[in-house]
Amino acid sequence: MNERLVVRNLSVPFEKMGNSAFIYCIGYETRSRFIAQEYKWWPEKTIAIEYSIGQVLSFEANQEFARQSGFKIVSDQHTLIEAAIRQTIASQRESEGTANITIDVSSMDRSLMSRVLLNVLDKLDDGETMFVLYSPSAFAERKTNLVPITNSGAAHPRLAGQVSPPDSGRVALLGLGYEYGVSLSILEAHEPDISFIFRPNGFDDRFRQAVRDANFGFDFGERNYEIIDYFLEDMAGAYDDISSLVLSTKHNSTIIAVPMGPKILSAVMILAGRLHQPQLSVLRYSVAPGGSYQDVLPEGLAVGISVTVIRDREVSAIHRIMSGQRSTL
Amino acid sequence: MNDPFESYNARFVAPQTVAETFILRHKQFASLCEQTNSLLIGPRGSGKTTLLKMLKVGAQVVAWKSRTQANALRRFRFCPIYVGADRQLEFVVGNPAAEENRASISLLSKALLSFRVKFACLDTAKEISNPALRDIENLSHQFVDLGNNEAKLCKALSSVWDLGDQTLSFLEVRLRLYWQLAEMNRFLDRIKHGLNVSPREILDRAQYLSHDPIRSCESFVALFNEILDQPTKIWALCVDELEIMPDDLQNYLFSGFRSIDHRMVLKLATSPFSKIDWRGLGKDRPMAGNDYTTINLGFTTKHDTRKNDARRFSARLLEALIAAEGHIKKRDSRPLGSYVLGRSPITEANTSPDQKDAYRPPEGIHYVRFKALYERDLAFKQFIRDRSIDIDQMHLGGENKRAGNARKYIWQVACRLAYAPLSAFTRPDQSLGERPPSRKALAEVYLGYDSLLTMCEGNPRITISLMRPLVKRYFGTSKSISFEEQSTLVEESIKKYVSLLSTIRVVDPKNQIQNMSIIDLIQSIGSFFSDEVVGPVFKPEPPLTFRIDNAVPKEYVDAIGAAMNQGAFVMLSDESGLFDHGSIKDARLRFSYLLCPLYHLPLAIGGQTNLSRILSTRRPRTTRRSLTQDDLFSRVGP
Repeated sequence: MNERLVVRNLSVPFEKMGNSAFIYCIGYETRSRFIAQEYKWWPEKTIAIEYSIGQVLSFEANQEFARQSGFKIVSDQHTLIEAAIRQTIASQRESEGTANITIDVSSMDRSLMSRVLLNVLDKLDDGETMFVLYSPSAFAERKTNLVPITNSGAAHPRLAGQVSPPDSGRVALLGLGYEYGVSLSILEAHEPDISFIFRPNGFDDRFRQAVRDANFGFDFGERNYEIIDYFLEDMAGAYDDISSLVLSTKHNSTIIAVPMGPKILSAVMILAGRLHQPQLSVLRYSVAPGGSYQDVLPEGLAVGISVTVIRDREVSAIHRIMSGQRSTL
Repeated sequence: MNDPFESYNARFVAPQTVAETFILRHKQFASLCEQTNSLLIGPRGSGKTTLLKMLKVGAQVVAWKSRTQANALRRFRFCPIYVGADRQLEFVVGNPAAEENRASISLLSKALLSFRVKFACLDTAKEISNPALRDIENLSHQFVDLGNNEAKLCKALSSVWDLGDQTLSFLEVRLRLYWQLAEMNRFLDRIKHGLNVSPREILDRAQYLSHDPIRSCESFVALFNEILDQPTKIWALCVDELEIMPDDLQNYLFSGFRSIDHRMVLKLATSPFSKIDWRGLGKDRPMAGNDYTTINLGFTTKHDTRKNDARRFSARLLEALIAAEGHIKKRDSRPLGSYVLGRSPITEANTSPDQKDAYRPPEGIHYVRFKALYERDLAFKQFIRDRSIDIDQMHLGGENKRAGNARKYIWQVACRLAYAPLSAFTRPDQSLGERPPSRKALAEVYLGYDSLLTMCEGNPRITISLMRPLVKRYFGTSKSISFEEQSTLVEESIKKYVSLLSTIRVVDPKNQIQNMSIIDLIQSIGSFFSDEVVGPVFKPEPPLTFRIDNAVPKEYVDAIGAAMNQGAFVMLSDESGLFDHGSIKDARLRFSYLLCPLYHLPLAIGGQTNLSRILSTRRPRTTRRSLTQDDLFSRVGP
């Protein structure tokens, strides 16, 4: 199947998503309900995925909000999410004629996010659109504990990549977060021939400083690497950068993508990973919380991208869709 | 790659590039060149891969141009086949669903190693049949004229490697191997999606996935020697990075020392610690000395007598870095390291011309330090009196007397002077107390040419990461780098190192702490040693090493072993005395010198204590705060 994803930036207000179904998660961060609360969603078209672990801090308040809003609460257990998505898309097509799904990834971990994004994309038909929203967190002094990596692996089996011949090169696409030393540790473990390190730029300069502090002033030592800035307001640009890098290196390299940092980068890397299987492995690294869980408040705004699925079409048709989107946003 | 030191890991670097930057460790390389089985042991960054890759004919073509190098080349006549490793399989099938397919994954991981061996055999065949070799002195003996035999060899390989179709060239063989690898990926795909795939199903459909890595190599060797009519040609199967392979593969390769074909030798490289219980192999276990030679790339022995070897090696690497950064041609170069960094306040015996005067009053550098501590530290004063040492007379007499009276306390004195609580103050209740000097920067004793070389431990990766920023700074200003600047840059390197270590997880034996990092243990050990060094009593030989005694929980042993593989701890002696790899039970370890400034410890061996004793002095976790990024170089203690 010939498939492409047309990824465009979304700008607020998000009225164009008005009839879209909405999927988000009930996590322990206050932020996890921000987008659900701030924008108008149809209760019957909203799926609130409830985490079965980490039910601490703001979890109860988030759960209560979902209940009061009349959202459909779904456990994160195996197959339940998939069934709920299938049902939602089917009923939306029935009522609207086409399915558009909005996903708030702000508080989803990389595994859950992969499950949701891959599942939705699989079910969307040609020309249907998935909107990915992200609510940046308000700045809070981060914990600076030196913490171990508790887990690492593919974010999803479908994003695991494959075993390649020994003469393949190794390329890393690494998103920077502010867990002290973790990025360096990832580079050390994978020892890529070349690394493209994605540095986040958000709305609060204090984040930039915190990321700088946690990553040794962006000096990763005697390695072959390049730092690429990306902007939360322009994640379509980040997607383009990632896609270009993957396209230009996948013929002779295996590529790993490790999206630390803002979750919207994870979403973008998952999209690229889906498109470029099996050459791109999207990995997740779980870091032990610095002593305990930490609540995260929303910054009070949202950013996002629209992802339109194009299947079995000519290039001219894609151009038409892209120009059409430009006029509606 | 423009800069030869751009990457400090040789795994993914072409042999030719490795060769260009190679600083030969003569003794170890000579040992590796022996036509015997070898086990190359060293922590991360110690140069195992570089040494193995230097055996490759492709590397030899480029770099071995000097007389010494040429002599090294003549040492060996075996033909090396280099096989690397990576973690790809771990990520492809490393999800919980794959647990049910453990037997199949084990089969496929062995098959993957077989593929790597086969590809490596082809690479080697290509290298040694390169006509350019014929004209290179000292290398021409490696040349093999394939003539019309490539097709014959490939036909034979088609059969023994189960390639399916008949192949007539190395390229075709390679293509068939790619195809087989793709078939293997199809099985992996099913496994990673949670489907059960039995070993039987795999073998029914792809017999070649049952191939044994060493046997695959042996069959290549047998065919090559037969077809090319070189029955006595010897090959070396060089397998790198055992430590990142699954346990059963490590075990399998290690057992190969006992059973390998007489036309081959096996050269394995691994980290010093392994969780595998080698004793489980019983009497069939290959024995160091009999079945293989151990080549330890660590520079340490029981009495640290090889400390100077390590320093010399790091010094050579430093000069190479300076030459590379300054584009200095080798023949024009004179040693610049000591000028760039300046000599350290403490130098090793017989490495500095003014050492004798260093004890002479009133200005000798050691004299001044002894005197200052004598006047400020009651504990030290008491110690000097008890020993009837006359500080004003230290410069008199021979080196032996000086060594007895002063030299062995130099580091102790320097550390106490820099960090011990020497500032007296009166508490509100009128009692007297002492507070340590407020110090965030590194003390000068850790800076300068001598101390920094010691802290490099002869480890190329540490040397490059520590020295490279300093060398760059030198060429930015063309002036010796001040200790203040050195302090900033060295602290940065140590912080990076600690952050890497901190990601190593420790399983709490009591299962009370969920997210315990090796830093917790390092912090406990470092704080214990620190108390011994700068505590209320002056200890002439404070414990700075620990023994992994039987009371230490296995979980801690494993975590310390993992940290040792990263170079955080250095083994001074092990149970067997052979510095073999495997268990570290009963081994004596010290901190890497790179970590010593963090805990204000001497760059010396010191005495020994049991690890269980250190751990018993720890406060419970509930009252301990875990180390944070902000704590590095700002305070010591839990």
